[in-house]
Amino acid sequence: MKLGAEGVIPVPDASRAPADPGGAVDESLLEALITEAQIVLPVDLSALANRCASALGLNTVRIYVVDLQQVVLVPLDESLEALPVDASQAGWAYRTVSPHG
Amino acid sequence: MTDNGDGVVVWLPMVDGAERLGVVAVRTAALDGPRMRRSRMLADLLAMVVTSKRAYSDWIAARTRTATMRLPAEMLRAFLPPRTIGSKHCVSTAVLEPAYDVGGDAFDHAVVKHVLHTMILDAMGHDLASGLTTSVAMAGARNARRSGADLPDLVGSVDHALAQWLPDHFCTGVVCRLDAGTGELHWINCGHPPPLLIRAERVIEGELDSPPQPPIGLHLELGPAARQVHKTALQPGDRVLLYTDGVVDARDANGVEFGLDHFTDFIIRASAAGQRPSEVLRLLSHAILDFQHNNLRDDATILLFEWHPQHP
Repeated sequence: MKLGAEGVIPVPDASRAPADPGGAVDESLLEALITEAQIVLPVDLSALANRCASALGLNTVRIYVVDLQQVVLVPLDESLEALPVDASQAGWAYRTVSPHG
Repeated sequence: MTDNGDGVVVWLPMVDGAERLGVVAVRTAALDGPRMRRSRMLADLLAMVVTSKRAYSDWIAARTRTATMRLPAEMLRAFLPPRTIGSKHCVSTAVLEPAYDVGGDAFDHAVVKHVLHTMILDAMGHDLASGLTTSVAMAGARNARRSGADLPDLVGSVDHALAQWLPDHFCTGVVCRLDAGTGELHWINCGHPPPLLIRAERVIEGELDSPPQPPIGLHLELGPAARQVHKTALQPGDRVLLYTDGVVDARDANGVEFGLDHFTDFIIRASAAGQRPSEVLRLLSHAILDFQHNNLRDDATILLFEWHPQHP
């Protein structure tokens, strides 16, 4: 994949502006998402998070919370598997408090 | 980074201040500067949303449990602050086991302006009454702290509350007050194992020992008129450890104790390896559980705080 002059992948279709991470964020969409975040039920948080990701020009986001003993990272999306803190990329990010990617 | 054709995945920590909540996985077309910045923004936003929801969400609480919680633990845990708190000048972090079956141990920490308050408590016994004793002590200490009480008044008000409402119960504990501007540490030790000072990767023997004082709740019957406050000056980078005896008394299958040296060596070695304090305690709590094959006889609580003033 070829990067544009500023390291940004060019997006040809202007109507899909949120997909261009270097461009302006749709402010009214962000406003709606932040308002929704106030009242969203925790069980619906995964879906809202994905819409936030999309508004920021990212594809998807998955949320994992650590268990009480900090052994596993538990996905809020119940269809996903939990990941071990001691042996996973997710766990590395948790252990070191640094991004892994 | 994983690239399986429809973009890359980046894992980002999700933190609330100094507290690690979990992680998020962001899938994106490519990992350039702007996308990385927005991924971080998203992780920070989600951390705030999760923090605001989890305090009162049974669903999130249940998701983060891997075993059934017993009643005394449910009550005590409702009083616990986040595992890790901090400011630019100090950090305090703690772990408590057995996580689902804790009886009478608890910790507290809070930063109020330039002061870090820390406390560890251990009520005798391992049942709902021990949990009640600790809960009253936690509430009493916070109530006094929020009213601006100094250390002797704070401990005194808990002494009174326990003597009045739970006259057959008491707990041991250490209450500390660290001025994060100057490094001046004040503490009162109420019948508890003395705190340990780790300086430049060594335990400074006896540095935080003090003459014995009665446990909290027994002072009015046994003690002198006022609680004795002790003080010392911390140096930048100093770490102070508060712990309950369940930590060092943990025994393996052959009856060998985990021991104080093993405990402090583990912390010094993990810290020297570059682990942050919260990670050191996470690893240590798992080491203690492994040592005793996940079957602790007594509650084991550790609180570690570190002073790292900013250089002007």
